[in-house]
Amino acid sequence: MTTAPDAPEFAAVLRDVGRAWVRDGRAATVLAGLDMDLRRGAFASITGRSGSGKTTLLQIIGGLDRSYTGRVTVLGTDLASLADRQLSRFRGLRCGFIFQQFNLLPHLTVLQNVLLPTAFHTADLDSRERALSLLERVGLADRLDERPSILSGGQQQRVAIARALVQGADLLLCDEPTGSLDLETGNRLMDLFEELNGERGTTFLMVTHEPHIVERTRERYRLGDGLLHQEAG
Amino acid sequence: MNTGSLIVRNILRSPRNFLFSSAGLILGITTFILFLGVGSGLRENVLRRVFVVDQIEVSPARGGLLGPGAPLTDREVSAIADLDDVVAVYPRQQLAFPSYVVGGEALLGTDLWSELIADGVPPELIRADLGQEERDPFAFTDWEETGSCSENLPCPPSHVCSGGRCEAVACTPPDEIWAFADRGAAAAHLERTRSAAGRSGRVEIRDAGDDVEHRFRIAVTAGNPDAAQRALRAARPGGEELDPEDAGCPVAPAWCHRERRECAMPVPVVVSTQLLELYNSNVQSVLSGSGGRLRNLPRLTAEGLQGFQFDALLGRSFVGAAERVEAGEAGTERLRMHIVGFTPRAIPLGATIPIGYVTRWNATYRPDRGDGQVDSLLVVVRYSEDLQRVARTLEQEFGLQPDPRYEMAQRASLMVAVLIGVMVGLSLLIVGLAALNIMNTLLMIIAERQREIGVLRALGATRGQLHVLVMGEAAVLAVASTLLSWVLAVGLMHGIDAGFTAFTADFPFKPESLFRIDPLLPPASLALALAFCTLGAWLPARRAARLDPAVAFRTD
Ligand SMILES: Nc1ncnc2c1ncn2[C@@H]1O[C@H](COP(=O)(O)OP(=O)(O)O)[C@@H](O)[C@H]1O
Ligand SMILES: [Mg+2]
Repeated sequence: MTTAPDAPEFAAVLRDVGRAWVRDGRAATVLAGLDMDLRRGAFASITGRSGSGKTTLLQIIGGLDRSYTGRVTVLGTDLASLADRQLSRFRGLRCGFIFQQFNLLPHLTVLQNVLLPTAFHTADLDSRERALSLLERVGLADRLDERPSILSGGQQQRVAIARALVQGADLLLCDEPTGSLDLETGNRLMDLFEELNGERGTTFLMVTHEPHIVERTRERYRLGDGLLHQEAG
Repeated sequence: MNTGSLIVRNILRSPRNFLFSSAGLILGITTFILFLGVGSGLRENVLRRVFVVDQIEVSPARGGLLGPGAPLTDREVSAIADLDDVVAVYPRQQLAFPSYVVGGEALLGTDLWSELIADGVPPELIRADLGQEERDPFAFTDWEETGSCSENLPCPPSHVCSGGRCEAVACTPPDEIWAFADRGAAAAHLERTRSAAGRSGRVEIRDAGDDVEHRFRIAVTAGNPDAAQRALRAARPGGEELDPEDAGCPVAPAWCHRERRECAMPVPVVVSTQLLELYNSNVQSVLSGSGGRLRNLPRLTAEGLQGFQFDALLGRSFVGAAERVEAGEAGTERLRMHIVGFTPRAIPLGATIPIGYVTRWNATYRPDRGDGQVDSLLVVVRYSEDLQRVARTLEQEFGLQPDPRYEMAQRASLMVAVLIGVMVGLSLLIVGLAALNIMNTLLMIIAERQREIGVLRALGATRGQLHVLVMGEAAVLAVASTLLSWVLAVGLMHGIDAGFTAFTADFPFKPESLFRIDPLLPPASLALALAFCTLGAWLPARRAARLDPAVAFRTD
């Protein structure tokens, strides 16, 4: 590796990253000596056995887990240099999360859920307009005032995508995004991901265990023994 | 989307939890408002009005068996007036010889007699107290001392300004003019009066009026005019006392002085507010229940009594005096008095009049007594809290003795303070328990919503913002509960007052409302609610802020 970690062509650069949990008084190592170079505009997947540390890796890249060793540079920023407030702002404005369980707030409407990130940090003044156009884009323009619970799983995940992008994130971190969806719905969600990746150049990093999802990605990583192995895509 | 609307939406999400939490809070705040309201009410009704707690009356200490101590000198009085915290001093001189008052027929339906107890005080102080102008006919003014006059300084009614001096208008006393059917009736009446008056005075037909109206003046020329006058009245029928319009003085409230045969201003009297209250609640109630001739006494109001006139007989005791009168006794004087106001600065029982009258009368009737003496001193302090300190100074440095009412006021004041303290403590306890309850509810809600909190963190919420979200829920709860508490408290106050008025008998100083809302109470109640809610929300907020955001990724 010769390029600088904060070079603009990289969405995430990890060097010698380690993460261990203390369990029963003993350190259980999850990640050790992990390197990663994720290019901007990548459409990447991570596979690995359950408990191999996939979610942990996403949390580290997304600035939710700070107890790592090594160096993590995301979108040109060394995360270790940020205090909680700045790190929260980074999460709020620059990277978005997609969860297997969608994690929409049940008491808010579709539109309010999409606008939720704007309660904490403001990217620009017309966030409402942006939310509306994103909902239009994900095909939910006619469900603005409905509660998430009456939407289907696929629709809920689309709301989550709009929410993740409302502040203009460059990097989407998705943990088993299709894990709660049937095959057909999962494939249509992947269609949307592909389109967004193509239209906006948004970087996608998806944790998944489904081979047909992996097949649709261009960059393919496998996590095992605390290390990341890149596979041919 | 903003934090405010997030907070409100969060509260509305679990209305039952929050209703339950706020019920305790509302109970606590409501009792706080009610207790402090009744506390202020007690202070106002008991301490301010019953015991006037910003003043103390002191007199020279009694030297054991030797009787009263030496009266205060002017120097001592002004030294006391110069003390810090002392707003005003009202020197008092007591009327030092027996006198009595009679009057009230117009007001009470029957005349009443009473021994006259009177104190003289400097008129300027009372006028300032009541907001009166010096030359107002109904002001607390020593009219005998208002000799000079000018365009700006008018003379009292029925006086004319002549050469810079006020001169009284000459007059005929109205009670000397009687009308009879004919001369024979007049003569018969005169005869009856003479025998009734007995030794009390000489009565004669002084002037036969014109034949058409049969007017005769029956003059009381010597002796005891009062007894003779009463005899004249008692000896009716046949005669009729003519309206004072025909005689007397041209402009009220001046009256025709019988001996001087010229107009004079009534001696102004101020009466203690306590005395009026006592009359209304006790005397009037008790007597109206009796079958006696006083059973129809009306309730009196300060407004109704304003300008009420009665007569004073100086130098004569009421005790046994009504019938037993020594003929030819000199040195008594009949005067008119009128009420010009009510104030707590007046002596509790009796008439308070301008000190000049008392000094002059004491000099006439008690020449043995030196003049310019101050028998007691009413000292008014700025804040009631200062009273105790001032009282100690007066006792220790000036050798003055406080009025026994002072001790009572101190005790009452202490009791009220203790009572308020206990009640406020109780309401604080309730609010404290409510805060614990709120803490519990919030902890429970936060445990339920761990995943959600993790999501908020992932979406960019800082620890501080999560803290604010939780504290905000408590603050909104506090504000809403305080508003509801006020609605409840004011409703209860009205209800309790209505019940109190309807179901209790009159007693002195019975208040219209048991409660008084101090202007500081609304902000204080809100501050209390906010303080306890903030306290209760602190731990849950901290817990929420410290929650590991990784819970958002859990799939269980
Ligand atoms: N809060 C935690 N405390 C202790 N161990 C944890 C915690 N979170 C994750 N781990 C451990 O870290 C390892 C990796 O977990 P995770 O990243 O969730 O794996 P994956 O997402 O690949 O299934 C697992 O062995 C898990 O037991
Ligand atoms: Mg996982």
